[in-house]
Amino acid sequence: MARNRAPSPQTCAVLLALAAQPQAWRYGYDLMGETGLKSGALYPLLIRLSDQGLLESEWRPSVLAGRPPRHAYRLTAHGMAIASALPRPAASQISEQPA
Amino acid sequence: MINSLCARLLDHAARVMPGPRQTWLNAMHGEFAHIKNPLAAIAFALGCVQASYLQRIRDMMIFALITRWVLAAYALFCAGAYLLATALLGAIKATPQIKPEDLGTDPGTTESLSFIQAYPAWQLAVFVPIAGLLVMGAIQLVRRKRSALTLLASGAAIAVLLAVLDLSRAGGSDWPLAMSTGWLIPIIALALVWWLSRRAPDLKPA
Repeated sequence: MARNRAPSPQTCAVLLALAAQPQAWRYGYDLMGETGLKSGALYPLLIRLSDQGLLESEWRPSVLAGRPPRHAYRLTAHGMAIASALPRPAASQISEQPA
Repeated sequence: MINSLCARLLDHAARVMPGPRQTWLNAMHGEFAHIKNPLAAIAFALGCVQASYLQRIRDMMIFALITRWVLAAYALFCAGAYLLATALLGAIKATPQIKPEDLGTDPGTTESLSFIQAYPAWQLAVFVPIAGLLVMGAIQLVRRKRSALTLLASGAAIAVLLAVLDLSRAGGSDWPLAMSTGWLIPIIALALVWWLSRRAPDLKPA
């Protein structure tokens, strides 16, 4: 049963960070730095956004020799529509605590 | 040593992460390989473990959903039992002329009647707020409110306190404490499962 609830602050932060550069492929570690989220919070969120069709991903070769490829992400058209409807925060202070 | 610790953490994350999510585990591994700072690497690896457990819990969300309703139903059942006990014991205490044979012919009826008549009235009165807390906790649980566990825990704590007081009272219950409070075990177990499922921030919908 789907319930319409407002996105969590963490979700908003990730969507807005991705929407800031809609055509660019972003890496997880970069998103962590930009949103202030730790990996334990970010990756489950990315997984859920991907499951909901808001996020697309691809593997990109590493620029560093001998390193494994990196998973990169950007919003789908549906994700961009959702992100566009979000209010922009005046100051981004992201709490790690669950709402 | 740090590399070894991180490797162990990532191995553990790999064991916990559900099979269909292995691509995401590989994604985290890929990012980890590009982190230079050792402390940041440990923090990232710990986050991978957390993410894996959250995914494992998410796969069990149906159990969390069932848990919430089962816990609420069980809390209501316990509340009903307390209210029934209040009514029955109160009626017996209010009838001083009652005799053991009025309650039945089972062995031990005389001792049971003595116990009930000697049971402090104020302790009996506390049964009602215990039931009230359990009912409110059940309602808040159905409404997915954070106060649910506090209310249930308060009701359970007062019940345990009463059981302990009763044990220490002369002429009090001769039941072991475990028997007096055994009904709490399902509440504690179910509440713990539900609380764990609530801790996952990603389990909230977008």
